[in-house]
Amino acid sequence: MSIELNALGKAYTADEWVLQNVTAHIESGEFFAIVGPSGCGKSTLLRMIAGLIPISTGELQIDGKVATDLPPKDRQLTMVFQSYALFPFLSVTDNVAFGLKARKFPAKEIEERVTKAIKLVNLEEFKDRRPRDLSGGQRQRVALARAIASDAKVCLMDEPLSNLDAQLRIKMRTELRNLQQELGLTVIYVTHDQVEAMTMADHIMVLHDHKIQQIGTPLDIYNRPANTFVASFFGTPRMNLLPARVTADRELTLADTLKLALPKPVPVADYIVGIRPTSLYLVPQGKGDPNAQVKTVEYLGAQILLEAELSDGTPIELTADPDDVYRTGDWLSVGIDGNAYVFDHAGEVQFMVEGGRQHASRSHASAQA
Amino acid sequence: MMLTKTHKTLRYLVLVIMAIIIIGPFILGFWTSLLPTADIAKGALFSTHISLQNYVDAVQQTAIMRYLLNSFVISLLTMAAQLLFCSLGAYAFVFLSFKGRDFLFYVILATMMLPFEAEVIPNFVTVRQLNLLNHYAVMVIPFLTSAFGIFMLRQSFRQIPPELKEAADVEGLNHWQFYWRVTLPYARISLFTLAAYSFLESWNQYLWPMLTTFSDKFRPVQDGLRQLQSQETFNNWGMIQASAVIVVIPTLIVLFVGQHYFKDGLNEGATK
Repeated sequence: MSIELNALGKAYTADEWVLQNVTAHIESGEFFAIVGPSGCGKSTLLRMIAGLIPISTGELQIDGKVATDLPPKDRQLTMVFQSYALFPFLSVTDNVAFGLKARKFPAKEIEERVTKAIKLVNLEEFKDRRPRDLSGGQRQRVALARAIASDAKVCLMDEPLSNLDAQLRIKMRTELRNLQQELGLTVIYVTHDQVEAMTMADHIMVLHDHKIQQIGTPLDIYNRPANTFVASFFGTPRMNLLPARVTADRELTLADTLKLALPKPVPVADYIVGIRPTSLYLVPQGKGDPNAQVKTVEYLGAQILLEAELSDGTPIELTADPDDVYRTGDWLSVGIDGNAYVFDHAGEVQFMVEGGRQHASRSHASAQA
Repeated sequence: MMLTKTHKTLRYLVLVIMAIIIIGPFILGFWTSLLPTADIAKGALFSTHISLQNYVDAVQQTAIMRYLLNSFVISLLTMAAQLLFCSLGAYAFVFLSFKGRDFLFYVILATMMLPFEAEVIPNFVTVRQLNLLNHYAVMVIPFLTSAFGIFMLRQSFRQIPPELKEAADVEGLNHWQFYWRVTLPYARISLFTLAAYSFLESWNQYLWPMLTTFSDKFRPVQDGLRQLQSQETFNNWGMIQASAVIVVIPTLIVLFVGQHYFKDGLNEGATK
């Protein structure tokens, strides 16, 4: 079942738009993630699709039929909530069977579906327990089983993993993705965690400031961000956004220190250039031409994260080889050897400069780029 | 915190003294109900003439069983009606949105400030107009619902996580189904509490039945006891005590049974 969002909008009062002009097409069997910071309206959008919140403007189509004003139960979908929303007075089995009973399925079919769903989420030995006797991860599985048991082919998930601890979350990510593929479910998945979206989704919608910022595959979003928000939201460590101005015909100078050669001339204006820490190389103290001073050093195991200040005072994040030694106060020489994204002053992407280094020898930092 | 032995002893001592003060009259009442009236009149409290004769007499010679039946009918009807109407009212205040909802709720709250005694006269006039005097109806109809019950259940329904309502909406439950299959089971502890409360409240009614019932056919227990005492020929104190004990038994049953349900944590695990 495909889903079509056509210029959806939501306003609670006349001029206060919580969401505006949301247009997207979600293919049948697709894992579609809606990502954004808290308060960007992603849960509201999900509830509009579910029918729990009325749609103010625009049109929603489910499976080719207009569903804008349909009550939730006629939209043929299920929902998994962040807080699980289990019925505490019902056993696991009854929780999973709840929707089927409400929809008056034949008893035999209910039993079959429930048994199958409980088996899929590995809760067979807990099927007679109450939610209070289950761990957080198990409760999450019950909520999943409830969605699976339903005959609806669309499943809406509202940050289903955010209440789990880090390790369990990573495990559930894989399980959820496998389950979705196995059952051919169309999943719309709301999360504020960009890593979750990147690892699970076929397509990602980035919401911010009540509007869609970008829709694309995880690779697209990472490699071709549409604006500075998307650029800095995806990827850890975050992309550096440096102020830039035109200093020659085909050259930008970033933060008065770094030179970036351009493939074509640009109009004279203020620009912002985004460079991921992995697209910067650095030469340790004592070698090269120093232009950045180390402020903090964080050892992450596989790499070192450096927070530094360029000579004009602009903060910049760098990654370095863990075998090298860096100390606060060290002066380093930083250069560009990966992709750089040129944004206009409003933050909209203009073009990308493919990774080419301008000076000094290739160094370790770019290996992960 | 570890308590020293003296501390502990002192604490228990205080508790025991308080318990004696509170339970004392009950024990005394129960004890005298086993004694012949002659001994009670003499003040011979430590008499050894213990028997259940007073109970036999009470059941055989007075209308106490009829009073009990009346009270059971009235209390059970009142309890059932209050559970139904208070929960429906509270549901509306929590899960339906309509104009003036909060105002209406405050009006209902405001009626709690009014003591029952202040309502007695207008209520009496009303039930007399309706020709309900001296009938079960007169003791049930004015108490079909209660502001306190609505208030209590509203607070309890508000604890229900909104996600449960959303989950039910997605599954297509209408209001009646959500009320019956989610709200009531979720709030069952509050419902048990209200049931016990309204049953006892009705059981212990005295002023209102005294004004509105004139015959043993409809008189409830509390007024029945008073009736026994005031009958001229009746000065059989042992039997009155026995009747009083009989009247107290249902109260104790309700409290003991109720206690079983007042457990914490029954609703854990709905969310998070």
